[in-house]
Amino acid sequence: MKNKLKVLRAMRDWSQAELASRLDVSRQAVNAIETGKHDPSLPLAFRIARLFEMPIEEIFDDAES
Amino acid sequence: MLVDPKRSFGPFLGLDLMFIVLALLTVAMLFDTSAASAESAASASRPLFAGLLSIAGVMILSIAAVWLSKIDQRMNDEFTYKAVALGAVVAVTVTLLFYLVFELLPMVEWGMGSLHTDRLIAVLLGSWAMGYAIFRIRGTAA
Repeated sequence: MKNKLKVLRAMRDWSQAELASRLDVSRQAVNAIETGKHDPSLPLAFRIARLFEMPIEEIFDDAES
Repeated sequence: MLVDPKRSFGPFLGLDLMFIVLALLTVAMLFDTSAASAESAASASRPLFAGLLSIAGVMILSIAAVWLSKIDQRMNDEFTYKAVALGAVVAVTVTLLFYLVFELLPMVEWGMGSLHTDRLIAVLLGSWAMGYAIFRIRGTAA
């Protein structure tokens, strides 16, 4: 699943570790999501959306929408 | 200093190391158990009691495993944990297929030996390590 996590994180000048801390996951989990190797769960997707104050579908693209 | 394991996952995880050791151990086990002859299966002296105890064991351990799966739900967003969990699914599938192949084909006549418990455990551990490595490299995304 494609996502804009890396771009959104860069816009706020956050490191992967900082974003991971805000989302209560490991830095590796953030890295895996950014590189498309791991799809976040629905609760984590909501946490990400709340953190960036954006709708989920604007952050994640399942290529079917 | 205590390190939060949730945040300490480096590029080369302790877990990776554990699975590499497991894979090496499995290779040794597979060679060793292939050379060993199958253990003679002892029948239960009290089959009814043994059967009931086995059923109770399966039920209790299943309930315990379901309860422990709360950890799985909490750790679901951890990439590494998901790789371990998906690797376990691969291990169960491969072990069952291995068992079926040995049951259906004349493996003993083909010089492959029989599939006794130790050998099956080696297959289970080896396929778990292999499954973990594949998901770790390729990712857990569908």
